[in-house]
Amino acid sequence: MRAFDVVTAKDSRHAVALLAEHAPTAKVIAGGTDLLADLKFSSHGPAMVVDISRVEDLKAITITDEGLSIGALVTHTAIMRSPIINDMFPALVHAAHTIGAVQTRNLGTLGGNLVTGVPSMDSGPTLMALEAIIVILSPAGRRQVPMAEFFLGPRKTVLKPDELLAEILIPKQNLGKPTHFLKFGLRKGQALALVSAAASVWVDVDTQICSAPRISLGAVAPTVIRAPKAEAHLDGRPLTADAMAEAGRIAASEAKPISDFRASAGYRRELVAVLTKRALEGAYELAKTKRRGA
Amino acid sequence: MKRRGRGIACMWYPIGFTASANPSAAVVKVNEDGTATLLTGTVETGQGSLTVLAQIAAQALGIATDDVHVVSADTDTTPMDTGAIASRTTYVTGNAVMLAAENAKKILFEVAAPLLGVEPAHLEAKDHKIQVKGFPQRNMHIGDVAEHARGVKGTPPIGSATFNPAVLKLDPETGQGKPFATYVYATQIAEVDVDDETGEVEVLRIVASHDCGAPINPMLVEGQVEGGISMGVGFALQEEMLFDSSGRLINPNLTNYIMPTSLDMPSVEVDIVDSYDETGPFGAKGVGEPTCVSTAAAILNAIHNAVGVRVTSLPATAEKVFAAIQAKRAQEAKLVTAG
Repeated sequence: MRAFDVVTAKDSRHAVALLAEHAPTAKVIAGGTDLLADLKFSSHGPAMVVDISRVEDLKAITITDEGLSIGALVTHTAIMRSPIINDMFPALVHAAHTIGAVQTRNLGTLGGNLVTGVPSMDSGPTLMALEAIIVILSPAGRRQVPMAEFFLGPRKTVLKPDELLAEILIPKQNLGKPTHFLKFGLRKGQALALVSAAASVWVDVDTQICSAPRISLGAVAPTVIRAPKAEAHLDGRPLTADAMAEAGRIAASEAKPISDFRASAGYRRELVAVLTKRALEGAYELAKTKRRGA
Repeated sequence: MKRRGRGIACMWYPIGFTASANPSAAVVKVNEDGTATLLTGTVETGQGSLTVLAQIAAQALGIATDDVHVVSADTDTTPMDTGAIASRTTYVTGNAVMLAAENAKKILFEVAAPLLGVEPAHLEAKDHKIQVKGFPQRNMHIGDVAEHARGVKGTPPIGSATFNPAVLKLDPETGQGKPFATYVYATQIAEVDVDDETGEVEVLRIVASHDCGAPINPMLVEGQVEGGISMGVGFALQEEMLFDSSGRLINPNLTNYIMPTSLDMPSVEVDIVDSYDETGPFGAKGVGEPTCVSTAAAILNAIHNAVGVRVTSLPATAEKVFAAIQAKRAQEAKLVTAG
């Protein structure tokens, strides 16, 4: 581990100013659950660490004109406890619950999970299936990047050294969209995803006709990905058991899994088919429940 | 689809090897305040063995477990022990502790007998007293007896003993003999759900029935069985050291060496079989390693019962179980086509 300095940002504006001053050798720390592990084993760490953990204006969960805004510093525990998110997106609550252990979830933040850019991130698929937008602050101002364009490769995102991930926005048209997330690991607790899948879909419960199906997969490509061909297969058609199974098979063909000591690529592909199908089934069930509740 | 299955496995396990020397020794000193000090070389590793040894000494002396001060695992002061290994501590070290306590008690009886006007054989140690059998009102406090032994008789009540299971050589021609002092037995039943689309196995419940001789501390026996079952679940489904082609360990950390978490544990029901071994301390045998012997076999039998496949290499990971299910389906399809 290399020695480094730490500065504490007072608010998001201050954080951006500090980043501008110290980029490109600065790193941002929030919960530190990923960064500290990296720093410990890295011989070429940052010279400066900008601590944003006390930036209160990035800790809110609010409904705005644009949609549901989740501050980058919202912890996984805060997501699990948020009445708004429990009501609108139980899939996000479930995804947060699968992350690490209680301690990791108390410290780790949603923004932190995304900036690591690892393909197995547990928050990624659900947000991508909800077409989330990443809001980024920099000295140049504020820009928005669709989730599907945010990741460039393993541990690579579009974030520039002087940019700060500030907020995750689920667009207005997707508020309350039935969504389901599933993660398959080598054990139930504290597991890395071998494969994860999320599906969101609007369904007319009377006709079974679905619209805007969105399928996203984790841990089976260099980044979290969408499965556009599987989505196209479903769009505008009845969401039958056969259709969902076929969408799963198509999604499996769109995945690019690797073989490693945890599992073979072939097995991961099988899991993509099953998890995609089950994620669609889960979203459909939620659509039916919501209608009964309404 | 999830398929439910149940599997049974039985085992027996040896306690107290006799193929080579296997001694434990102990020193028990009865103090003038009625407490006792126990010196033992064995190491407590969280299994509760020092509690059990203190209970054995307390039972022999008729005092409370809390009154036994245990000094352990210090080669400057305690006798060397063969080790907290081979599920031997309760049986071998426990016997040494019981015998050492009996020797200290013998001194107390010899001192108390003339004061109480009886033969030593008529005395018993109970409720912190040395008393006449059948006439408990004729008694002396154990601390007073200890003080009298040291200060008046000049025979401080200190007992020491060694226990080494009887050596019985195996017949070189037939291989027969008695290589262990005693044996324990167990049956475990596992109930699992197998996801036939992913191969994932969820162990729902394990019922474990164990003979460990007389259970000195039933709650510790349960703890040992639950701990052994968590090891057995890992052995059955998860734990594996993986090496690359140059022999380097690939998963030398707990992120990648997969062990069960509390979320992976089944519900465990422990049944302690009523039993008594004449050769053990107060009838006890042991329970350490035997707890994880039958778990994996019971789980693998339950997998077979659920989805009809035999996985013959451990751990039975989801990927292996899924591959076996696929192979079975392919085989059945071939038979249908041929038929």
